[in-house]
Amino acid sequence: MSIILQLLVNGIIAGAIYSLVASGFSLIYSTNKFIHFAHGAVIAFSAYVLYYLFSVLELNFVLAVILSIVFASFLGYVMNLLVYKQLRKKHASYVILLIASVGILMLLQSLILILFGADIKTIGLIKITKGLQFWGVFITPLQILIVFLSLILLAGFYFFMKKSKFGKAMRAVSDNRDVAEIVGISSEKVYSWSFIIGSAIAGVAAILIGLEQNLTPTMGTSLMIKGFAAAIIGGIGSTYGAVLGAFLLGIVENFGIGYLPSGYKDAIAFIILFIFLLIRPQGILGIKRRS
Amino acid sequence: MEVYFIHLGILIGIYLILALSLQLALGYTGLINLGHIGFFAIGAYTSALLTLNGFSFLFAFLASGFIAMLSAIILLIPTNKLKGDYLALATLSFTFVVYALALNWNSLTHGPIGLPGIPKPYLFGIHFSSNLSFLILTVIITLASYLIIKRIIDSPFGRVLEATRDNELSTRILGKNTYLIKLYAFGLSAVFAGFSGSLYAHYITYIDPSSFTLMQLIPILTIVIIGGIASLRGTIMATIILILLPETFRFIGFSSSIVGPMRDIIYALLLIIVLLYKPKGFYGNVELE
Amino acid sequence: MNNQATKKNWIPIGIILVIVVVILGGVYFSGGRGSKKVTKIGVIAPLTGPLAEYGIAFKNGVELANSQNGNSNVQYVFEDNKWDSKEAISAFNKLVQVDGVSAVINWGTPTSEAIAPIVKDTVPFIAITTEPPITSISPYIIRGGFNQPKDYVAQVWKYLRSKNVKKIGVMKTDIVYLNSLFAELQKAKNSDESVTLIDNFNFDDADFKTSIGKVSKGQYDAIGVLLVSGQVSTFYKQAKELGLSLPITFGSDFFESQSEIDAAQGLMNGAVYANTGATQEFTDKYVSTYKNSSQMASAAYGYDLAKIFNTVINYQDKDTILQSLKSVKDFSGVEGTLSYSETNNDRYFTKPTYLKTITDNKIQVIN
Repeated sequence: MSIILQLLVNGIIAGAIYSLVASGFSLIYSTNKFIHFAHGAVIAFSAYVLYYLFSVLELNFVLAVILSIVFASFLGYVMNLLVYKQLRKKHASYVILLIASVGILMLLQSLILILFGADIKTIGLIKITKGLQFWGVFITPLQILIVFLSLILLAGFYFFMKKSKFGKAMRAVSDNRDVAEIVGISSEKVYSWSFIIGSAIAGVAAILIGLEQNLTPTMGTSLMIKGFAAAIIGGIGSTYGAVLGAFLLGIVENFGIGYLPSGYKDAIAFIILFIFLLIRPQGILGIKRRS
Repeated sequence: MEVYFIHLGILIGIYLILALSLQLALGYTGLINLGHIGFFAIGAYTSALLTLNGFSFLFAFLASGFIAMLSAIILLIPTNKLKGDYLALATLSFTFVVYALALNWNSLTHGPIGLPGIPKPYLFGIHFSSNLSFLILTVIITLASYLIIKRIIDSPFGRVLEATRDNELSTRILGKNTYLIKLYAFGLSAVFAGFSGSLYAHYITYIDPSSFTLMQLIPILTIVIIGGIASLRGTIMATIILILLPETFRFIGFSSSIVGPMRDIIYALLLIIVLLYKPKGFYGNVELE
Repeated sequence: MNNQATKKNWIPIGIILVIVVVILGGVYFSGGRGSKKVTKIGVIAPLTGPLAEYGIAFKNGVELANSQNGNSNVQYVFEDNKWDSKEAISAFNKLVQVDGVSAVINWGTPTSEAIAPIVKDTVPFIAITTEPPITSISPYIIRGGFNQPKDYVAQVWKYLRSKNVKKIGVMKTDIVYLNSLFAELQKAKNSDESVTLIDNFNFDDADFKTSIGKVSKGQYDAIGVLLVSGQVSTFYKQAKELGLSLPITFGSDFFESQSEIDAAQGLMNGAVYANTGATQEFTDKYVSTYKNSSQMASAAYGYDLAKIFNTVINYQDKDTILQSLKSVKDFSGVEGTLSYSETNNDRYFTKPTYLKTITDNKIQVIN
């Protein structure tokens, strides 16, 4: 019994990590309507910045965290300003924005390689100890924090998107940009803010993932692919759906490899993604968009 | 010295077939297919596995196109009703699924170990083992592919494809079965993708899953977009540029400590700059929705 | 369908012309066959992408050797294979055809397998791989680098048997090198011993918790941590967090990384592995030059190969180069004594394999 419980807990932890990636990505996708692959690179780069500030320069941890999140947010904002906004002005299609975002991803990953080298890095803040034990299941305090924060994100997004004025503005632009502009919403401002907020969430993800896992120059790509899958399963257009999708993904993956060899984890994830796209493309919580 | 140029020529040929096939589906029929590299992979593995198990190159080559086409049909049938970016997402996940299968289906694909020792083509009594002979084979197949695709595009059927791309609803109202039209175009693009995959496998003689990831799709997609939607000439130009440009970086004397990532940075910067200045591509006249 | 501005359409043609001119110019000025005095050696390694740590360490080792025991007549040209077959072949072609190198070294099994069929009789090719079949493709191919899986296994099994280990469980990442180690471990077991695969992972997996959960206490006398860099320390960390008390653990050359050991925060102490070695003097010099201590073994065999190329090779033509390589015997390198060896069509360099352990967060040689 405790094996199944442990699988469930493992799945929830994995899901929480995916949700940290997926939620920021989903916010940006649902507002801007293109696949911003460079989101993974924002996470990776911010994690390295935290490493640099805390482990190399030995700044106070809280200060380093705040600076890293600010950096992440700023990086996203700059990407939008210099690249995406300019492309939008030229009526670039979303395929072009996708290619541009991959270009940015390549750029940032190579920069990380040059600046920090290829070997793994760790943010050695937390001492490795045996996890806390509840009913035969192990979980560490950091992992509890990760799950807790992702649930707060879930609740936060729900209220933000449904109730806040800005959330409504975002949904308006996402639905129909021209009409939104007519009623006085500045779409460029909304786009800009979606990057600022979405990338800030990426910064938070970077902190937590950086503490939980090792840092490698290519960590952004693998996180992004899972985050992308989670966001789709949860529902494109629904940011809190992305969080749910992430948890679903994490749980199914872990139960799957409880019985299959671990190498199949990615295959399981993508097949679920594929099935969802076939039978319910709007995801769990998405709204089917009128064509 | 010639071997170096012959090698580049062969790569241009293989990738041109792949890019032209994507242009057929994306540029002319408006099918946002981000899973195209999956067909390339299926073609490569099919051809490799068949020839490694004793089948003739001719059979393997044709089979790779055929199996790729089958997978395209299987992919399109359920995704047909998806619109715009949903289709992009679904086809993108197809890329991931094919990669994951190649990686994990060890009994078939040998997983990450890959398939070494793929034999060079033996066709009509000629053994295409030298680079020059392979180049000739590639040129013939590339030329044939180009002519066939051009023929289709210039024909009345080509008009229908473009009509489907521009306004599917109107085309249906006019009585055309757009579903079958899309199926046909998609399947055909997969056939050529499969052929290019076969050529690739037999040229490199070793394939493993890492040759067929999202990162390999991006250059092909870039070729089609930057060359210009619905422009065969643009596709040719862009393929040549995309294959040859990284080679020029080899001649820039970067210090060895940064040579690897520096080339990637320059490539990425150039890509972004070109997109910023010519988002419609060089020869494109059409906007995707 | 008409073109809006025909003027703009000349740009791509212009770009192509520029590119072709640059390439032709580069080819011409690279000297074709290599200038009379300087011999060039091509070194292809993964400098970006997967396993870049190894490629970069290898390259650093070559450069360090060149700066210490430089030979003014020998120059090294580096290329990035990005762990990709197509890139490796392009790099090989460019080095041989354009730069006119007299020999090529390539790091990594899949890329070496892609290059092997085109080596033919162009130049001597040293493949850094553990796969013997590669040398049967051309007489100009020799294997270098890693220790032989057989030597590794001999050391490890000897140690484990001295500790009365009968049942081994292995966590493995699915790459050729680790698969060979696993296969050899199984081949070398006695009838009352067992080598079981606990689970098989991919390169970028970072979550071993579920597989760790499949292991019960006392189920294995020893656990083989045959994972790649980054995964090793994560495994130890997650095992601890899940409350699994580990029996004796052993690893592969991926353990040869101070950053990995530091990341494990002491949990790797007591683990053993077998690998080629490097003198302390080399390690100190390398660390002070590159401020980096990861993958020293890779750096060391890069160093030794460069030292061989700089000192004992006769560069008259490709056959004398091949002959000199084959005549390497009792060469004193930072890895110990290297010799060329040939068994059943397999041509490779032998070097001592050391059993090492991690104590006090430092690597120590046991034998």
